[in-house]
Amino acid sequence: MTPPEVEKPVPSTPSSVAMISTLGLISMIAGLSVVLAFQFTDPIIKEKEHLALEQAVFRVIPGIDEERATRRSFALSADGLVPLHEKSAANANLFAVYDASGKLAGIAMEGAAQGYQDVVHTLYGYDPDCECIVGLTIMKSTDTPGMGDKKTVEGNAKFMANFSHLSVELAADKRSLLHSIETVKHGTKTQAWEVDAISGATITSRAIGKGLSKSTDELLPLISRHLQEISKNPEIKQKTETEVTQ
Amino acid sequence: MANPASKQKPITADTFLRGLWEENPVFVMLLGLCPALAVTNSAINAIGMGGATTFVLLGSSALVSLLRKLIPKQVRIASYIVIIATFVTIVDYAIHALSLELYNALGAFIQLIVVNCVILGRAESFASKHRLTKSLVNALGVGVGFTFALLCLGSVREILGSGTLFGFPLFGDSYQPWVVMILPPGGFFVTGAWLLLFAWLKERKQRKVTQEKETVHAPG
Repeated sequence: MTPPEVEKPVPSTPSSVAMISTLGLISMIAGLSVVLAFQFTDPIIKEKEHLALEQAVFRVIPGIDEERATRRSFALSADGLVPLHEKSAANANLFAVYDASGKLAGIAMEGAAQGYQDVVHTLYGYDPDCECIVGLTIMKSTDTPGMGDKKTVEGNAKFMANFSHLSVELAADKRSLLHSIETVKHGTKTQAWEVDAISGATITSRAIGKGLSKSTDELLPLISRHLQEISKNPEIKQKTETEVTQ
Repeated sequence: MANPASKQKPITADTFLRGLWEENPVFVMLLGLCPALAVTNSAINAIGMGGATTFVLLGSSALVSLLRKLIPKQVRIASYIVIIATFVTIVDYAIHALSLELYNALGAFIQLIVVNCVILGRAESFASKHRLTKSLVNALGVGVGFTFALLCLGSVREILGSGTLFGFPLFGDSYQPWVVMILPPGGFFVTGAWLLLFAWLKERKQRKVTQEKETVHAPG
């Protein structure tokens, strides 16, 4: 005789409608919360990023009185030079800094190249009078802490001295650089256009050098073409005109 | 399966303290070790990461607990992940707005909180079976325990590797930083040392308990 079949309890499955509506409800709560958080924090984030860039721009041009200096943003490409308003400054690749008298004190530009972990972003100051780089700050580096991170690189006075007077002289035809920036092994710098790497953080040093070299090779010949336009500071002109009419 | 008896248990100090000490996510359960090793090269990073995780733990536990009767078993994991991801996105925006420096230092590890098993573990094993207040108290305990563990790692690594604590120099210029401690191997060394200490403390406690039992049952 065969034993009587025992009916196995079938696990109850909730209807698809219940599952879909639950997931829909949760997704709705999620979407609403994310949008609210974005709406609330976006202006604060933009303001902070703007402030950080502002401070960095003034930091790479030495001898500037931050309170009295002014800044203009431009988008420079082979197609031409476009002055930008503060609101669209996110697209800028060139920041001209003027001293209290309205004279062009220097130009800040961004450099970026692949480092050890991720792209190393830098901001450097260019002085068109001496045709040299006069300052540098690391905007973002996620390279090994204690070796290639922002704090360690900026704290290395010997390495940072590379960028107090780094030659980026233009060739006679003003179409290219006389010598592109090169990063050399620690302790072997002999030329004014060479960057002496940090011992132990060669990849980060090379990334910084490469970022600068790429950016200067591309932008400096274009700057020389538009230098007169960049040197003008309309804000100062407007101020003088208002002072005269008063 | 949930024990129905445990549902009726009232909230006690143990609900909070369990996550902090006895079931510490890092030192006892060995969960969430990925951020624990990766971002603890300074004390401030440890606090930032711990705070972010605690916020996500609290938020997700609250929502999972509130919706626990509504979420069908078959779609619970998908629901928990969406809830956790929502709070992670919020905390990501919040940290970005609060401090750019901290945001850059923590990098992708803020977004990776979504897959931190401490949080999914809390949602699955506690919040989905308990009432809101109890879930919140438990989540807070685990969050504080996680932050405490990260701080233990972060402060030791920062002191040895940079000679500073919360950025303040401790030893003066003559101190030669032990750089390996803020590099990945340092994370393993310090975690190993803390685990050793915890295991020793636990063993000593157990030995004491057994000794006490033996003295009570000893004849004469």
